Amino acid sequence: MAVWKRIRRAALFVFLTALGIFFCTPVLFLLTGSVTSRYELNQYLAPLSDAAKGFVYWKWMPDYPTFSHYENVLLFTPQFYVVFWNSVKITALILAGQLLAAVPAAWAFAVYPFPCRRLLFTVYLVLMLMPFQVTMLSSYLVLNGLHLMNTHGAVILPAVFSTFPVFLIYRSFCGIPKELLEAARVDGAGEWQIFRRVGIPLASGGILSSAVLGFLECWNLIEQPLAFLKDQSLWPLSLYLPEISLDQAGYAFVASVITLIPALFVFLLGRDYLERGIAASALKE
Amino acid sequence: MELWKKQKKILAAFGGFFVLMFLGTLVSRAVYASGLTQVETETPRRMSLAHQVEASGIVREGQEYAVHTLPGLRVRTVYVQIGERVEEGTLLFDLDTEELEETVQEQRLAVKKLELQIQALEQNQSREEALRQQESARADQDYTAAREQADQNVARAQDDLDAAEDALEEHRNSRPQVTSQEDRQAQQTAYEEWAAKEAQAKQAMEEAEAAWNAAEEEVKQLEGQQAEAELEAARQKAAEAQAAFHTAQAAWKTLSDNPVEKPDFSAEDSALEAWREQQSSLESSAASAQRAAEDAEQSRENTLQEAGRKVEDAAAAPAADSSLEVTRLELESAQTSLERYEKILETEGKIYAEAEGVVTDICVSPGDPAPDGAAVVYADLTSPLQFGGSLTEEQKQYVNQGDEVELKLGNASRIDVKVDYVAQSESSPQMYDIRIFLPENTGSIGESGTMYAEVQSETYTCCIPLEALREDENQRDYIYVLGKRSGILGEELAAEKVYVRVLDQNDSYAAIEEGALDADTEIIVSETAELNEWDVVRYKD
Repeated sequence: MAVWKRIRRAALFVFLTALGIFFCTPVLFLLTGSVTSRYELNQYLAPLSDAAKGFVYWKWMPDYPTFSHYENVLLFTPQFYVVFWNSVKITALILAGQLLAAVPAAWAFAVYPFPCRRLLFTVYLVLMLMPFQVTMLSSYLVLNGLHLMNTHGAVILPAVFSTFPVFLIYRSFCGIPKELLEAARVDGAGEWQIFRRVGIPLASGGILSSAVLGFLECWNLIEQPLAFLKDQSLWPLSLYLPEISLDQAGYAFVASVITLIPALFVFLLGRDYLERGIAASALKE
Repeated sequence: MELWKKQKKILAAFGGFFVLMFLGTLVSRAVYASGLTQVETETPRRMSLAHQVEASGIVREGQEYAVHTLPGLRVRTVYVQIGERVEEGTLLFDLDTEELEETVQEQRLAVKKLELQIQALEQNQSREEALRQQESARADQDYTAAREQADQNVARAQDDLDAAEDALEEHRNSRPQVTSQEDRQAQQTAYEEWAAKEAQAKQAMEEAEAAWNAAEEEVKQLEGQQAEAELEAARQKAAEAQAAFHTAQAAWKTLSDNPVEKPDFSAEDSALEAWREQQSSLESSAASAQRAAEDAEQSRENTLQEAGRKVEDAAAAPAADSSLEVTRLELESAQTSLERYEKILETEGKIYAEAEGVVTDICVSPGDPAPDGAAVVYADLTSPLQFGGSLTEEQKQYVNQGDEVELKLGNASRIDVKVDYVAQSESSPQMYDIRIFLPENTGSIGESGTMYAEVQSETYTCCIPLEALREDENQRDYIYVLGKRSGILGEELAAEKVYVRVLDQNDSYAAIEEGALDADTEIIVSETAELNEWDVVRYKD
């Protein structure tokens, strides 16, 4: 029996490893493509253009690895840095705004029994479920009325008041026992002190997971910048990459790799909280 | 604690990443900026353009003398050199006298030949004139004789015609008398009426006689019968018939006793016919005489015309012949040449300067024949010197004849002079020659100098530095101005091409037509690299 058990475990390991490698394939594509020479890339990707027939193929190890694409992007393309910092700015401001707005909102939903709370929360949930295309026109009219069109504010402001982080953090606050809050009140703690000293530390997992998910969403925003930003100088990375033509594929691979790095860091930073936060939300729900 | 330590490392790495990105931003910006074309700009100015013209030249003689000699004479010695100063009477060069004497002899012989030719031509002309006059006189005589003969023939023919016409007239006057047609008709009618009546009376008489014989026969038949009344009536009838017979007989007898004679015109018709035949004959004769007279007249005219033409031909002027005059002219020329040769020979072939001057050109050399043109040219030092230079077509626009200009000769200070002459250069049509006559005692031949002229244009509202003006492949003028271009890097300065029309320009500035630029437009006047339209640029450091 023990032998069968080991064989099953080994088979499961092999299967899961293969599956893991399969999911990592896009990242491997990026990494190998970013060090593949321009000539080789043109050969591999020629069928994507109308000039050649056949199918795209790929070599996991380029014949002549080169870092010239990195050199081009990092040293000779200030445009890349412009869009990179645009993305950083948009993402940072959105996250900051979300934390400032969503955490107190979630605390209020979770702790204070004010009238129509459930109805309001249901509206929040409905809004969270709506895709961007549904709210685009109304958002456009409001932003235009506020003279925010073609500014980063047009992208940042609606995202700051997203309902998804409220939902996530709300679940974390709901996990705090009411008795604990009452005990704090009995001990003379004010509402602000309870929020800051009890609520936030205990819900930090949910808050950070919300921040991680929010970062990933903001870092990859496409529709909102495309709809609200006209000047190219305001574009984030997500819009800049499609501007790169096929003959600059190596350039695009490098840009994608660099785009991936902040997301990877954020994921590494918040991985534990993310797992905990999402698990807590699921369990509570 | 371990988790926080691990996160600190990640955070540090994350921060390091941003630091690297920040450094990369600086470096890429610096690299990008170093690759941009740097430009210097200026705004349009309101100004008038000063057109300064500078033309170099040299001082030349004001007037030149040319010394000639007869072409072809061999030069023996040349005594002067270019640039040498000569006085009046200075020996310039001399000719080979032996060859000159031979030339003189040849020239004399040529003169003699021409004189003889003229003499022969004159004699020939006299003889031809005499022959021509004789021929003319003969033609006149022939004309007179032909006219007399023709007149005589005409007179004879006219006489014959007159005679024929007289005979015809006389015959016409002797026409025989004939009965007229009306009379003939009346006589014929009278005869025919009588004949008809006589036949009618005769027939009536015969009918009456037959009626009487019938009545008598009837009486005889009734006389044997017992019919007295009828007999008596028959008798009465016979008596009436007898009476009628007698009456008819008497009438017929009356007519037959007084007959009307039948008319007969044959005799007079024969006479008239004979007259007519003779008249026809005479008319024919008269017509023949008329034609003869006309023929004689025509013949006379033809004869006179022919003879007259001969007279005209004989009297016509002879064909133009200029050989005598030409020969005389040749003789005159030859005599003139001979005189010149003899004159040169008298001076033993020596050629002297006729005035004071400096030799500027020598076209003879020892041993060679003298040229057709000037042998020696020397400048006249007594007349004022002149400054000569060349202007380009563009410079010519600002310098005209009579303009006051400044002139600097050698190290001397500038003097104000007037342009005396401007004309297109014969050797180079793109250039213009100028001449300025210098004041007395100014400059020396061969001295270099520069002419300065300055003309101020009208005030233009839009003037740009000349270096900003460019020309495309279609020879259209354009400039680059600073424009704005938006991209991922934001709004950047870019070179915007603007086509302009140049109104005027000098060495530094160009005036362009209003409208293309406003007063604040920054015009690119210099750049560190070649510019193309909408290239991103930056200000020069």
